[in-house]
Order: sequence, then structure tokens, then C-alpha cells
Amino acid sequence: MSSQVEFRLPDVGEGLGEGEILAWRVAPGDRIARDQIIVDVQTDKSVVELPAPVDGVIAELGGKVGDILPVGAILAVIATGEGGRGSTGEGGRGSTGSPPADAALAAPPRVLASPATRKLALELGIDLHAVAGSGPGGRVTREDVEQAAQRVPAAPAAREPALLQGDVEVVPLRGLRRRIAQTMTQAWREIPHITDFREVDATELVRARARLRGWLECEGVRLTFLPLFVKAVVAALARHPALNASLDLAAGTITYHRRHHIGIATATEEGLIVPVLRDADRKSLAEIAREAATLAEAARARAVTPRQTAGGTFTITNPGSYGAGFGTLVIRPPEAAIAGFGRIHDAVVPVDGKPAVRPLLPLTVAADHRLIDGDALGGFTADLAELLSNPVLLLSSGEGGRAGPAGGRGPTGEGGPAGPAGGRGPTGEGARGL
Amino acid sequence: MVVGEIPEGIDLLVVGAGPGGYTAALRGAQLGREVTLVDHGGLSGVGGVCLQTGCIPSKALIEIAETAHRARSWSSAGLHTEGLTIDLGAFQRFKDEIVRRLGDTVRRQLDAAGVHVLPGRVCFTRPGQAAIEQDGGGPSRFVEFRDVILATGSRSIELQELPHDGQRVLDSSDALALHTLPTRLAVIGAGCIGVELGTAFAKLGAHVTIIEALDRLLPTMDAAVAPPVQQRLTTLGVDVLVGARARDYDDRRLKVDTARGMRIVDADVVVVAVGRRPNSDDLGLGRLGVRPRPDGVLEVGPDRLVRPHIAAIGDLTRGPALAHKATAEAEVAAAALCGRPAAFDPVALPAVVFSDPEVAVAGLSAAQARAAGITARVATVPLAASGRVATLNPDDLEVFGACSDRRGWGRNEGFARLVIDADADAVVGAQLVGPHASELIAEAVLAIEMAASPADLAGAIHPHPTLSELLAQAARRVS
Amino acid sequence: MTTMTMVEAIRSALHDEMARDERVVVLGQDVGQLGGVFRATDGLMAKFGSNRVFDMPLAEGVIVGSALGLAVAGLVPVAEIQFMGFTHQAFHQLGGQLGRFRFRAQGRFGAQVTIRTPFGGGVRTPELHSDALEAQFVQCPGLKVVMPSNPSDAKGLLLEAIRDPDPVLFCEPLRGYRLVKGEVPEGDYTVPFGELQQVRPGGDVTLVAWSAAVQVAERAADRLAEESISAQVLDLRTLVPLDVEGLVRAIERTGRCVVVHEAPLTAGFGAEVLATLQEEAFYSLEAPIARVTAPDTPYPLGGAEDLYIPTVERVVDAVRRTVKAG
Repeated sequence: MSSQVEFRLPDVGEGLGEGEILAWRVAPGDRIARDQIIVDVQTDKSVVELPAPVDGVIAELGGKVGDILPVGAILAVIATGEGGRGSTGEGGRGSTGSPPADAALAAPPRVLASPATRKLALELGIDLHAVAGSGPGGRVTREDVEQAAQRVPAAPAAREPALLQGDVEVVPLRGLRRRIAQTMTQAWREIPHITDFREVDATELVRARARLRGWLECEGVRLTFLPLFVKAVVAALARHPALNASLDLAAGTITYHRRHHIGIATATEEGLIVPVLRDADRKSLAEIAREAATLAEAARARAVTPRQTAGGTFTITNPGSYGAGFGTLVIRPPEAAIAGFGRIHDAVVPVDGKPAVRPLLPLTVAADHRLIDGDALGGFTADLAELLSNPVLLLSSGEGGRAGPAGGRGPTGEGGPAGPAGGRGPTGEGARGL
Repeated sequence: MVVGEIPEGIDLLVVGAGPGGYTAALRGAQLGREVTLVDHGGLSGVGGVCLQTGCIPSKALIEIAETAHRARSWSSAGLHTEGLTIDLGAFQRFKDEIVRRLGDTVRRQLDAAGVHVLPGRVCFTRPGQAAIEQDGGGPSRFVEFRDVILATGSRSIELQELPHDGQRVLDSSDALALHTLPTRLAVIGAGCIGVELGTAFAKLGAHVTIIEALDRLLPTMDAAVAPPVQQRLTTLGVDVLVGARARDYDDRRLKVDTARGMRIVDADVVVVAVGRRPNSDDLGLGRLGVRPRPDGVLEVGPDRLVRPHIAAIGDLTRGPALAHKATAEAEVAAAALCGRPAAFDPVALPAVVFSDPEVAVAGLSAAQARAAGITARVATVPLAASGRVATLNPDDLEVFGACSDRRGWGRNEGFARLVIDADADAVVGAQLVGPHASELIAEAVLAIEMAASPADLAGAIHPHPTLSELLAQAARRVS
Repeated sequence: MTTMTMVEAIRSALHDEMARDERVVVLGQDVGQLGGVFRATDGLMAKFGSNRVFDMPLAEGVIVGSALGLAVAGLVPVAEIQFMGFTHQAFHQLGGQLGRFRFRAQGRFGAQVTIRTPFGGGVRTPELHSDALEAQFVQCPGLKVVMPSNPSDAKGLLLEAIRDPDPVLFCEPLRGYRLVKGEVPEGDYTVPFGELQQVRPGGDVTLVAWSAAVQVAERAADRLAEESISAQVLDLRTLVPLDVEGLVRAIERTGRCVVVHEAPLTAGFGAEVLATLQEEAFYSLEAPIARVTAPDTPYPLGGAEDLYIPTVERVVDAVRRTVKAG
């Protein structure tokens, strides 16, 4: 029994809303293999080759050369050989055909499963045809369905009206919390995290901050450690551009960002907000300090605009501010890495073979293992740790060699400051970044 | 209201308070919805055709007819029945009383669930809105609903040649309300309803003729079930004309075209039971953007939705017009409109004819199984294989006259047949013909739904002496 | 708290206030014997007598003019114009007399008059029964214009209106009369003028609406949430006085705005909202503000009104475009 798969135009990661069909590589009737390139699509920045998601035969094409399709429109319909998950929409019509003259309504071949098992599968969103039955003769048991449900990402819960009953209060998931839930689920599901934990000797850092703080006070800047963390991260990223990148599996591309927009994770009453400090590598320490403070205040007042949360290329989080040391971190898609700074605390460490008390900074860096291998992560973290323990090294970084605001279209196609069209970051439309 | 259609907001509207409608209303209330149930009979319409003028009344009539007939058939075995008479007037009072009591039970449930029951006819005015019109005139109420379940059931098809008048040309509901027994009765249509009514009235003592346009009794059922029923009717003295069409009825004479020319059938009363038509034409469905098929059926998905927020169940949807189909669909429709995943996808929907002998089928016949590509094995066990059968009724050859070359479909004849999917080793169909087939089929339905193997059926101990052993015996033959 | 429809809430306000303040009188066409064509004044005449609840002839100018006279004489009239479309008949009395009264008195005294008037579409009325004319009265200085969208606001705002020493035009949405049910607090309470209410929080765009359009905006917000667009919905509640600060604060957060109203586009109150926002919050705007309104034609008959008044689809469309722009 064959079924059809609708291959829809994906958002290839530049926030494009549509694409123009440049060239078809296949025609209806052609047999194709999964991952075979079937069409070239022009976005407003580049030409993207799109591969087929499944094996099969091209049943129909969704447009001709020159057509402009919105994201989500059907590019092609592919007939697949096996049964399995057919398209979910059989329209509003029943699909059992004209009933047999008898009273039976079953349309063979059917999956052998008891009514209670069939109902469970329906509730869990499991397609019985895709479940291997462990019962006699291939019968699908309740356990088979439950196991299949655990392998599959959780199906959306049935929408029930909010109820207040006895021991529980059920509240609809809305707004910021809902978006956080969605983003975290996506991140955790799709990104294999590797994490590096290091303790950095913060002696020099603490001294540097004290001195800088005094220096900058007369400029009206209250210097915390955060701007120094930002500076160090940006300097480390200059040597390790792989961690300032985005992976797009669907499009099959890795995007290296030439600009450094550092997201600063900020806790608010309603949930986590990450305003972005744009072009952190081009700003002075004082500028970073001021802007970080403004962003944090805006976030806490829940007055952050979508533009202020869009376009991040790397995220910093400061769990040290609420006393944490090391911690597991969740990368924010579509970024590739995240760094967390714990509470600087005194500890006893060996110095020249003798115990000494030094301030230590717990440093955690997590990275997307699909893009970044252990040694690459280790290299970045080592450099970051080096910069933090010897802040004088930061003097060597600066703005040399980079294109100025007026030009420089990088592989992401970003150029210049935000024009009337707003800053299109690699995450896509400014309106909805977290 | 002076001007305008000022609507009241309601949550879930259920149209029709038959078995589908009231089940849907109760389920909707259970799921936390505020339900408004509208029926043209209001509270007294609860139960619909099934309760008021269909299933329940007909089973009561069949029961009294069968009881009288059975009593008489035991006269050869020692039960003396001189002076046994039947008072249909008293029967009707009894029937009305059980209908009232059963209706009260449902009304109490609806009340306890907080369902608002309104009298009136629903006519949709635009998407999401309907007018509820009162029968006696008066202003309509306008309501705006979030979701609606259509459960308006079906009505008897009228024949143009024999217009229904409720006096001489009756439909099945009229027939079940008769207070006096007609001497001569003609039944047009030998489907389930026609056969049931014809059998019952014959046992009550009327002279019955059944007229069917197609070539056999029970034409929508498997061909194998017709012969025992046919023969039984013959022994009851019923004339069965197949391939025959009624043309005209005048002055108690029914003109019938048969293959062998025109026949006159004398009948005091004619019952037209040629089928039922969904009640989907008078609701203003077009204004909801819903179009029924030419035969009046509404197309729905497995979740019984015609479109988002609009569900249809029961006789309005495809499949046999059976009350238990409606109640099963009602659960699905209510759940689906509450955003829960639900689907109506039974493997075996049983159908029962309360004829004599009773006929009950579920799942696939052997022919259907083979047509679906299944390697089918069939096991048939005659009724006589059960010890219980012998004790049920004395053989009534004496009552109806011996006939030495009779085929042998007497009262105690019938069969139990199982259809097995040989590759999967699963029961896929069952056909039962015999006394109490209507009760026995449920076991087969469970076996088919659970995809039980014949060994499962055979391995379960069935009590002795009962007819249920026949199923186990059939199963043993193929396992 | 009791659950009431909007017309029940209005009726409850009138009963309560007439009991509390013996100066309050109710007048209008069919308000007395019939209890109001929508039953808003049902039971008032029986309870308070024909001295305090009386029927007026089919002459809107007389109704409003008499109300002004009664107020000058020391009573607190609540007059009904049966459908807002007919307020044109009383326009001089409303704008030329009632609105100017305190101005003429150089501030020393005013006219404590409330004019109640049902309006609005979606209910298949004949000509002139659905017209939304609120913007025309906003242009009459001295008149307050109040547009409740739900039962608890309706009662609270009506009580505030009756107690307000200056004239108030209180507009009641026909569609919401029996459709919208809500919890209404027990006891005496008022809702202050000049304070909008956030009906739904959201961060991506602000939908501004009043009266029956609030429900359209809410349903649009539901639809948009499925597309991950978080739409805030604001109910202005009163057009005069307008809660400018509330509007500005909202736009400063979201940067995008769509205004929804039933009245025709040109010079509808949406234009005033836009002008105010561009004056007060220009630099917060990320995209042009959109308006979803009726076209500049007379109110149509019958089913054509479904093409006329703003629908959920049109609002959703406008929001999508607003969110994509900028």
C-alpha cells in the first residue's frame, strides 16, 4: 500500500519567507533516493539545493521554474513504496469506501490489535501500522504501543479546558512560558550537547575588575564581571569561529557568523529572556557595561522588544549571580554553543606545591556536538580560560581587519546596521526570537 | 425582540435526542461542556425513533407475538393453550408504559448531567448560528454555538405509488402502534424491518404477504442467511413474493407486478418498509457550508467531523442505520469536538434481524474476506449440534403439517458460522442464524475486535447446555 | 459574582441605581410599558412607577432635549435612543446643547445626563439599526463616549456614567446583548472612565478594540497564537476620555498595533488612535499601524454585513502583515 509524502519548502535558516524555484533536477515519474537533490531554490541571499526527505517516486511538482513559493508550500509530492505513515489529512471524508453489503465496516488489511489498544494508540498519536507487533501473528499489544510512544517525541497533549479540581490547578500554557517550553524542547531534542567544565583561577580577573571599576566610575559606569566575560568570550570566538555558527540540517549548511551578537540570559519573573548585545566585538568595555545594564533592566521590566532578542550568535549565562557553580546548559537554537559563569569563590589550590587560597571561577561551555568535536570545544574553553585568568591578553584583541559598518556581507549575508527592514539575524525574523 | 437576530451564546449544540443525540449530549457534559439538546419533541422526544416508535416498540411486539406462537407450539409437548387470545390494545398500553419508563431514565440522566433540553426544530442561519423554531408558531430563538453534533436520524422512505396516509398505507412506526390486528396485511420491503414486522404479525394471527423488489429476502445481508428465514415464513403461512413491485393500492387491493405477471394481493393494511432516508434536508445545512450526498448522507472523517466544529452521527452518516452505531459514534464525536483524539473505526459492527430464526452477523462474510485478499477458512456448525436446541422448542411439524420432502429448515434449524483469516489465525467474521442469535453475536464481535484466534474461542469454556457452545464448536473445527 | 448577559447587567445597573438615587429617571421609546425592545428596562416601571419611568414619542430630538431639561430641573435622566443610527435626529441636542452645557455655564454647572443607545452589527437588522457612529460624537466636545464590551464593564461603566455630573453617551453592542456572558460582581461598584483594560496579554502586537470588536480581536488572538504570534488585546472601554498612557505603554512594549472597529474607516476613532500613537510613541513603532474596519459605505442589508464588519480572518491577516513588516 503506497502513501504520499508532501515535501514542503523549509525555512532554510535565514528567516526567508519564500523562495523562487530556479531549477528542477527531477521530473514527475522519476524514482528518487533520500537526500538526493531535487530542486534549486533561490532565497533573497543565496541559492539553496534542497534534498528529498524520503525514497520514492515523484508524483507531482509543486510549481514551475520561476514560481515563488512561501515557506511551507508544497514543493513536491513523493509517492513512497511502503505503507507506514501516510499523510495525515484524508480530508473530511471517510476513507473506507463503499461499505460491504454486510454490516461490517472494516477495510482490510488491518492491524491486529484490541479495541483498547487501538484507542490507546490514537490517544498517544501512534500510527499502528508503524508499530512492530510482538503478539502472536504480529498482533500489536498494549505494551508495544506504550514502548513506541516512549521512542517518539511526546505527542501534543490533548487540549482540555482549564480545570480546577481538588488537588491540582491546571493552567493553560501561554505566552513567554509556552515559548520557552517550545524552544527548550526543540533544543534538547535536536542538539547533542557536549560540555566542558573548568575552574579558572580568577585572581588576575578580580584585580583587573577592581582597577577598571575605579577607572570607569567617573564615566558613570558601574562595572560588573559580565562585561569582562563578554570581552573574553568574543576574543576566544575570534580564534574559534566554529562556536559562533549555526547548523541547518534541513538545508545542509553551516553558517559562520562574522558578527558577534552575544545573548545575555536574564531571569525575569515570567521566565527566562535573552536580550542580545549586538556586535559585542566592536564595543568598548564601557559600552558593553552600559548596554548590558540597559538590556537587563528592560528585560526585568518585561519591556524588551522582539528586535532586542533577535539575532544572537552565542549566549552567555551567569548562574553565579544566584550562587551556582557549574551547571548543565541548554544551547539556544540556532546557536552552536553557550557559556556559563559560576560564582567566583575562594578555594584552596596548589600553588608551587603548597596550598594557597585563590578565587576560582567555575566555567561551563556547552557546544553542539554535530558541529563541534571535543577537541574543538576543548580548544575554545582553554583559550577562554586563559583569557579569563590573564585578562591582560584582552589588550591584543580589537577591531582590526574587520569590515566596517558600511559593508561586508558575510556568508550570512548580513550587511550594515539595521535598515528600515530591521536587522535580519541568522535566526530569522526579528519579531519572534526569544 | 423587535428587530434583528440577537443570538444567545451556547457552547455545544446537539440536534436530535435519539440514541445518538442523547449519548452525545451526556458525553459532552461529562467532558465539561455546556450542552444544549434540541429535539422537536423536547423532553418528550428523548429517545428518538428508536425508543418511541422503532427498536423498543418493535422488540416488544415481536416478543408478544413470539410468546403466543411458542406457547401454541408447545401444545404437542403438553402445554394447553385453548382460549389464548391477544389484546393489542392492552399491549399498546404496556408498550407505552415501557417507553415512558425508559424515556424517564434518560431524562433523569440528562437532567443530572446539566444538559439543557429544548423543544423546537433547528434551522441553521449562518456558520455558527441557528434558529430554533417552535412548532406552534411564535418567535424563533437564535443561538450562536461553538460546536454542533447533528443527530437527526432518518425517516421512512415513502413510495410515490403508495402515498402514506397513516390509515391504510402505513410506515413501520404506524404498524407498531396498531390497536387492532388487521386480518390481512401486506408488507412492502423484505429488509430487516419488513421481515421482522411480517413475522410478528403472522404469529399474531394476521394473514401476511411480503413483497420484495430484489430477488431474495434480506437482500443486503449475506445470501446464506436468507433460506432458513424464507422457509420459516412459508411454514408460518406467509406469502413471500420476490422480484415483485407494488404498483397501486385501491379498495383493499394491492396490485403487484411479478415476473409472472400482475397479481392482486388483498390487504386491509399495507406497511411500506422499503428503507429509510437521512433527515438532512430540512436543517438549512447549506448555510453551514455542508452539503449532503444525493442520498442525504453526510460525509464525515473517522472522527465524525464534517468540518471543524460540526459533527454528524447515526443515520446521518454512512453505514447501516443502527442505534448502536449511533451511540458509538456519539462518543467519538463528543470527544473529537473537545479536542481529544478519537476515531470511529470498528472492525465488526453487528447487525441483527429479529426474524424467526433470528439472524445476527458481524465482521466479514467468507466472500467479503476473500475479496479482500484474505485466505479464508470457514467453519459451519448446524444448530442441531447443540443439545440446548432440542429443549427449546418441540419440533412443530405437527402444528404446521408434515411435508416429507421438506428441506428441513424447521424451527430448530439454523447454523453458526465463523470466518477465519488463515494466515493471521484470527476470527474475522461470524454469521449466526437461530434462536437468540441476537444475544450470542456479542461474543463473536469481541473475538473479531480482539483478533482472537479460533483457539482462543475454543479454549474458553462455554457453559452447557447453551447455544453459545455452537461458537466454540465452530472454532474447534478450524483450530 | 453572578453570571449575566450584557443586557441583564445593564438592567441590573438601572435597577440598582434607581433604588439608590431617587433622582434617576428613565425615558425613551418603549422603555416603560414594554420594558425596552431588548428588555433592558424590564420591570423598572412596575417597580419605580410611571413618574420615574416613562415612554417618549418617536422623536429623538425631543428625547434628548427633554433629558437636558430634566437635568437642569435637578433630576438625573437616563434616556434611551433606541438605535444609534437614529441619534442623527438628535444630533443638535447632543452636540449643540448637551455637550456645550457646562461650557456655556462657564464651568459652574453641568448636565448630569446619560444617553444609552444600542448599536452594532452581526444581527441582521434593517437599515439604520446597526450603524456605529461613535466617532461623530467624539467630535462633540463636552460629551463622554463609553463603549463597554462585556457584562461586568457594562454595569460598572453605566453606574459611573449615571453618576457623572456631565453628559455621557453609553453605547451598547447589539450582538453582545445576549451572546456575551460574564461574571458581574455583587454589590455597588463602578468602572472608572479613561482606563483601558488589557483583555489578553501578548508581546508581539497590540490589538486595540472596543465594544463588540473586542470579541473579534480575542478570537483573532487565539488564531494567531496557533501561529506563534502573541497578540495583546486592549479594550479601550471609553473613547472620551481616552487612556493615552495605557495605549502608549502597550505600544512601547510591542511596537506593533492593529486597531479594529465596526465603524467605517475614514475618520473613524481608529484614526484618532493612530494619530495619538504616532505623536506619543513614534519611536517605539516597528511597523505602520493597521486599521481593520468597515469600508466607507453605508451599512448594508442582510448577509452582506458579513462582508462589512471586521471578521477574525481580516484581523489575522492584518496582524500577519504588521508582524512581517519592519
